[in-house]
Amino acid sequence: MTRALSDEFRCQELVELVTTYLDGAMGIDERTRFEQHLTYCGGCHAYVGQLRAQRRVLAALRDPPPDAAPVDVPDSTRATLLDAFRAWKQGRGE
Amino acid sequence: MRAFKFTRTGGVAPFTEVVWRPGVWVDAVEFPDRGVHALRAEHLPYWLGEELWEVDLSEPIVERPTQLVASRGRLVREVVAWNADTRAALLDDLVERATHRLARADAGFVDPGGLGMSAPDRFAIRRDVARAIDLDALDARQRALVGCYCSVLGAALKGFVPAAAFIASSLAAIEATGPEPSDALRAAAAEAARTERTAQAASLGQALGLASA
Repeated sequence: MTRALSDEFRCQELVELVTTYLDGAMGIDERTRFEQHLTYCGGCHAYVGQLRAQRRVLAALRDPPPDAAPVDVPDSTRATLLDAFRAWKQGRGE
Repeated sequence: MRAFKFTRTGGVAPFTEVVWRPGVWVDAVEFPDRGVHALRAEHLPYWLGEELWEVDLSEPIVERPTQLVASRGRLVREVVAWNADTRAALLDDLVERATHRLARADAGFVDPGGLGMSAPDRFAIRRDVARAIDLDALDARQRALVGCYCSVLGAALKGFVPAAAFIASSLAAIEATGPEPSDALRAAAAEAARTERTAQAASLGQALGLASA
């Protein structure tokens, strides 16, 4: 984590604004400061890289190629996932 | 116009992940807001990366504080002098300046006789020296300087050149204004950080044999 002494971005600011950055909705001054932070902060660089990869994967899931075969989730896998989700939800008291 | 550009290995742009090929023009997505970014020699320390290239830029070009923005650009040739030796030279130079800053702070951390040591040697002894310091006896500014200095050394030892260069500029800001400058002093902190970046650029330009673009 880095401390902002002047006009430098802090890691916390970066985390708050990462969606704006990845959406391409950031102004040029803010984007420059954001990218300068990525240059020297390995943790934030990795974080943004992970989010970028996640977006690519999700986009591919949302827009499968026209000739892609439908994916069947086996019943046992579906049941395991649902059980895990319900347990997680109960643990949160919801 | 001739300028410079840092990329990841293989000519990959660090943020857009566009692959640049030598001699092939790359057009801006939207000029100037999402233009092609390149650097003058004095901008280099802000954007240190794995590969350094000379680039050609087409007009129009917008000058920004730490970068140039063009409508299109192409790689001309790799600056092969940006290698392990010049990285080490940059680190030694900025660690040397950082050590003098700490010596000036009179925080009891730096033996003046030890000025001029290499970064790895300095790092190796830092824990022993740190144990001998009564941190409670230091004021907030001195403690911040000692902590930031150790971070410079740590980044330098691990070869994290961009991080070491950034933290060294933060150290300069702390020396100028303390670790938590008031609004009135923030401009002075930024100026001190810029001055350290300018020194880094001079060191880098000399090591690489670059003329300012």
